[in-house]
Amino acid sequence: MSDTINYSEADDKELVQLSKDQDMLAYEELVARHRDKIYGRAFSMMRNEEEALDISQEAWVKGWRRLIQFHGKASFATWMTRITINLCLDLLRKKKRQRAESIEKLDDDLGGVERQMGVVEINPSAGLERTELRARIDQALEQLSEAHRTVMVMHEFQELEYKEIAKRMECSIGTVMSRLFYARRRMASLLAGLRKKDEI
Amino acid sequence: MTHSRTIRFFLFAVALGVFLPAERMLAGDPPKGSEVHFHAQLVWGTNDDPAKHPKFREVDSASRKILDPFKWKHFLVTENKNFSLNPGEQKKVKMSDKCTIIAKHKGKAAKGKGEVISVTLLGDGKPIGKHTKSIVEKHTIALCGSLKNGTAWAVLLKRVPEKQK
Amino acid sequence: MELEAKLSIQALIDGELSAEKQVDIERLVKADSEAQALFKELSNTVGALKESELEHKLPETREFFWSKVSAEIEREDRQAEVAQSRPGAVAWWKKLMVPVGAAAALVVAFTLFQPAGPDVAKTNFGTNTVSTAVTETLAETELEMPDSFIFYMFEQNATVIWVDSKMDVK
Repeated sequence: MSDTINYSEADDKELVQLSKDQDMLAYEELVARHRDKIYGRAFSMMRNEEEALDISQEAWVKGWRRLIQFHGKASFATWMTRITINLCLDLLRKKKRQRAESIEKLDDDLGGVERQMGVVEINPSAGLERTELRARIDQALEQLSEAHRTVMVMHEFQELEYKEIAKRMECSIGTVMSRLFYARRRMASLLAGLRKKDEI
Repeated sequence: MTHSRTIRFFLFAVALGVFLPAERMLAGDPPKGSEVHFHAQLVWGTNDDPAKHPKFREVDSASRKILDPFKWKHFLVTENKNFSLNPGEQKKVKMSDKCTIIAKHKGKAAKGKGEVISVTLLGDGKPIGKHTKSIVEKHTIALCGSLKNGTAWAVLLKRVPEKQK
Repeated sequence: MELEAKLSIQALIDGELSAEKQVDIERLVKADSEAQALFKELSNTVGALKESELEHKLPETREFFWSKVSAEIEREDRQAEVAQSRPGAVAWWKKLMVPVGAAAALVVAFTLFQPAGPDVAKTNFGTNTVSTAVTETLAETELEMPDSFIFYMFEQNATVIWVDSKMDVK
């Protein structure tokens, strides 16, 4: 029987178990395997490369420290993305507090206007290749406010329920629903706008 | 023994020397900055024909442009108030029986961007929320919302120069 | 259509409604053309977003990124070791607690017995008197504007805050 471990062929479950036994090589393999996903999630929320990199690094360090709390109910990647999201929320809250006293750049959309918008009839995904659709959605995400983008990422990509989002964002379920609603309507409008540009 | 007592007394005196000036900081030096003057308007957004409400006049063109993103056709001024704030001062300004704003001068903004003002909105006497912002002359803060009957309200708070009385 | 109904349509799509409410909203969507149109728009958007997160590749090599992560883990480990190996440091600080505590008590006593701040009288501003312009010692609320949307209009030199709160103001 061989004592050699082929880390690149081991599944996540084995690597997690080895990491829990302080095997850094196993953890390095996990990092290599899921680093893009963690970075991508951080970038989706922060829209800033430097912040996303810092958060990714912090998330992996935290992951190492908290491995003992990972019981395998969700996948390791899902568990890590949750850590990442919490770190993003912390940073967003910190940035919001710093902005409160001297607001120079304001984000957020015309909420009152959007509620009066007509319904978008175009199906934004019709006729688009998956890669093209993803690029457009990413472009539109860039234009959402932090609050809207956060709730959208947490619901649509992280697939969290309203209650869970409300708990993490420290707001009411009603607020989550409103923000998600406005974010989706804004997204529909932005995607429709991008399609119109194509047609010109 | 005596030596140890001397050391403790010295440390106590040093601690006092640290804490007393800190106490002055806690009590707070008055905020710096200039006196600010505001013109506040309570505005009603409606699709009604303004002729039905002869008591109220339409907002001026500058205010109309600020309210332009919203769907209502007419914006009528229902109340006007002028007030001023010195650094550190706070005032409660009643715009209607149900709408009051509390404005506070929080001092000079960083980087010379005017003065920092916080505006708390009270609806039916209850705080709805608070917004803090650095504000320069001729800047307007517009707080807007909808009413249960499908119309809208807005409080326009414009910082005006001193000579504009 | 009321906002509540619109949010319920959204909740229907997201599977967040109770069975009873689901029946009501489904009925609404079937019967009302505006509700139908909104249902379709939201469904299209949700469908488009499903599994449509763009992949963003971490812009550092595997080795470089890992070197930063492992260096940070090792640094934290070293700090934890250092903290554990210096019990004397804790004892030294304990000795200072008595004089520091006494000084803190003095500060608290001094602060509590400060005289009250001045009142500000009515203010005249030109010919307009602000009849309610009296300084009040209200505790500052730290409420943020719930559900508010803020945008800045450069040309109009204005900050617009839409407060999502239905009031009876007239």
